[in-house]
Amino acid sequence: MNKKRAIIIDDEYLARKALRMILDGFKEIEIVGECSDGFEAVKAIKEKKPDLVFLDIQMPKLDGFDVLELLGKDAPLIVFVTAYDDYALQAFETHALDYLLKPVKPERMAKTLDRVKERFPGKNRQPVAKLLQQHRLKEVPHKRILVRDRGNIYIIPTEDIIYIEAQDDYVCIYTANKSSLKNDTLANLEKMLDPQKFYRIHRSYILNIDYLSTIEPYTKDSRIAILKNGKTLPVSRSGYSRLVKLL
Amino acid sequence: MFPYLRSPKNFLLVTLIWSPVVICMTVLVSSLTGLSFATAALLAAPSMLVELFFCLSSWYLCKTMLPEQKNIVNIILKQSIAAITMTGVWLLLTMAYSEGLDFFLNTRIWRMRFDQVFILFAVAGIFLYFLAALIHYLILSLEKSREAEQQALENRLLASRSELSSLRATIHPHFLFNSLTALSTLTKTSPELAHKVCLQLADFLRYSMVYARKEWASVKDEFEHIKSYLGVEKIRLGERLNLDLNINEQAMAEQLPPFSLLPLVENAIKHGFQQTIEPGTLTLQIEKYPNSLLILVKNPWDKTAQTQTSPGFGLKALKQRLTNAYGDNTKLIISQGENDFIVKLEIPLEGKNE
Repeated sequence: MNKKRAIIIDDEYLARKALRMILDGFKEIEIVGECSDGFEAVKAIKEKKPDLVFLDIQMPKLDGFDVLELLGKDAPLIVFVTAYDDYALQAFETHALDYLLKPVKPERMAKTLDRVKERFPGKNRQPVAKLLQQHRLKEVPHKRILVRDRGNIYIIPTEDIIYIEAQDDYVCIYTANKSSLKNDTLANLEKMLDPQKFYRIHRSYILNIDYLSTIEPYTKDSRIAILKNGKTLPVSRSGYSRLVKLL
Repeated sequence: MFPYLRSPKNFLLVTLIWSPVVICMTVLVSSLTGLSFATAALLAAPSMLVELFFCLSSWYLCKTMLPEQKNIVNIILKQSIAAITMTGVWLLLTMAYSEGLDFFLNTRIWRMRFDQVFILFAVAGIFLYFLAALIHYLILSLEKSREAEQQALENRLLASRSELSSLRATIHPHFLFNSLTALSTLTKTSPELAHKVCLQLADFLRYSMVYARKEWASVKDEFEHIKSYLGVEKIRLGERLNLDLNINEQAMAEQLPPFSLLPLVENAIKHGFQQTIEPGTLTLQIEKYPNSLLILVKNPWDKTAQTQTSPGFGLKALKQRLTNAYGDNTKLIISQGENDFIVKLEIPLEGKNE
């Protein structure tokens, strides 16, 4: 029989153990890993490529939604697990995603696993993407941006961001000491960031005005922004008029 | 705000009260001078209109000199000076008016008539001024008691509302269901520990229900309550949570509103331990001073780890409840350091709002 490989993610040992004990009763599931935080989870999912993940929502530093965001297209089939969260439950219902309530009942688990079989392989990708989109716009402006870069996860506080540059399918986020690539669009980030601080000065650039020094004319139609660290960025005409409205 | 002209109704009322006064004065003037009623009105009516203005404007003076704020002799003295001054000005204006009448009508009687009624006007002016002041004070005190009534009503509403939210906040569903999850595991893996946790959870729930209806609890009972709460949290969080609980023995017998300690500790758990993976220590200190209790809760705090940005909702509700119980004599000070978060609560030992 083709066993489904699963990973359990929860920050509480006893909660992981509870799920493991229930899953022991289901022969079609093989538990290939347990993770106690979001960092471990992202790493383990990338390495072990499980078929199925039981994901707790409330976790330290990186919660369940953060883990989903960092996984992006690498996300396997997800079953959400939560003790009590009105908001999350409503979101799961709207997007027809599987979830379990703690403490988990074996009968409920059986139902979920039946549904997982139907959906296999990985048909819940689209609803997950929609769920994430909705979740990201829930708490605006964001105080931090999550980036996964060559297996490492970085939490960038938004006040540290100097500017963001669009690069094909990615955006490059520049802080004082490094730059990180994120698989996202500039338009998405613009919606997530504080509009009082972050300005779309150009089709390809968002600037944190805390780091702006001056703006100087460049050609007849365009200007350049000189940042406090000496770096220069192009400013389009519409970007300039947006800035002028503020300053 | 000036009350008499606030609405057309009030304006009508003023006119109704003042009209008999004007008629009385006219009758008096006519009998003193021998003028017909209509002719006497030519002198008395405009003059009384000016007097009405003076009487109404003394409202502002009354408002600045309320009996509960100032010495009554002082008020009478100042009001008397005001009465004499205003009446003097009024008499001068009326005299000027009578001269004016003589001038424009080319007669020489109006000034003489004024001299005939001078004493009447002087006495009436001072009498009316004091009467008006009395009415002003009456209305002011009525307004004040109505305001106080409204304030009391609002306070009661606020108190019952925050009481309700305190009840709701007492048992967080998240805490309950996560604890039951942990318990369900323990019943199979270590029944001894499960038994202990069950009893702690029972203690916690019992206190939450029993004290929801009580107004006061001893520090000792409150301490037992959070100990059972922390006992359950410790099972869930394991090595991540270390406890340093330090209660001054003398403080144990003091009284507090129930559930004063729980929000402080819940806040510490939520922001200090559920948001970080590294082990840390939760410190609770209760000290007794001659006039106050000082409660201090400290927890580690990782600024970058905060996924949720609503610290202190429970603390705000607590502050509201304490204000209801003690008035403004409690202090709740929150300080965020680089790596730790400290909440200090100072509660007076006297002066409860019974």
